[in-house]
Amino acid sequence: MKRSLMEILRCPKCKGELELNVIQEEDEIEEGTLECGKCDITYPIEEGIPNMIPQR
Amino acid sequence: MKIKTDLDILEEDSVYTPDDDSYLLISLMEIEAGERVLEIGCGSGIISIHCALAGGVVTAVDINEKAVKQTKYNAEKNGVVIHNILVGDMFQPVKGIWDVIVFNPPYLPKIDGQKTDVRWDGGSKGDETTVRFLEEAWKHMHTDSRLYFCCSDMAPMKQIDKIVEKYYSVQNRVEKNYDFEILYAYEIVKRKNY
Repeated sequence: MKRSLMEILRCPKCKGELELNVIQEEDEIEEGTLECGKCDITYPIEEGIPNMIPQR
Repeated sequence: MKIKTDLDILEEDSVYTPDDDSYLLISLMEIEAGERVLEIGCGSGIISIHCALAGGVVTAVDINEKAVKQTKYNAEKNGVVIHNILVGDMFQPVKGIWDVIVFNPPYLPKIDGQKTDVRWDGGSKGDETTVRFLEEAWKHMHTDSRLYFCCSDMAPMKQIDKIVEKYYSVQNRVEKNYDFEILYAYEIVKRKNY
């Protein structure tokens, strides 16, 4: 994912801001996480694709 | 948009394969270079790829992780840049206002006793996914934004018509008769009072 995606992403549950943590970045972010501190949910970024479905 | 027949699109059983409804929708759509396009339910990526080729800055979303991967794969295979690709449930993970929103929704009534198939099950009656989409989409549109979606006479249209009338104005509507269904593709804008 591009870093600029952060401008349009929101927590799917509370609609709040997400915190980006990058594990691997080349031209784009390949691996990482997006965290909502309020909901205490972490969304994975794998193979460059963020998965914004809240997992149990 | 003109349908590109020379695209190399990978088709897999778990992801909706481009079909009559995809192409009816593409043929109704017009995209200007630089427009911000959001596709909900990108599936194979066929619509997003057409939008990107027309110069749109495309964000593609699907609830099915396999579909999202296939959109990415198909775009790359055809040398097309889709700006953002993510897994998500409709508008839940995205904010902001879009110039164009497009959704080819699953619109078939779910068969009792069978597991929901996100490729085509639109809820118990078939219109629930489309209704949920239309209830939300106008909040992500400006006064000139265009929204494109399609539906079929195989699912009830009454509720869809009611919501379209409440929040939107129909700019363009095409219908096409196939052997087993009539497909409708809509271009709508939101009403000025919303």
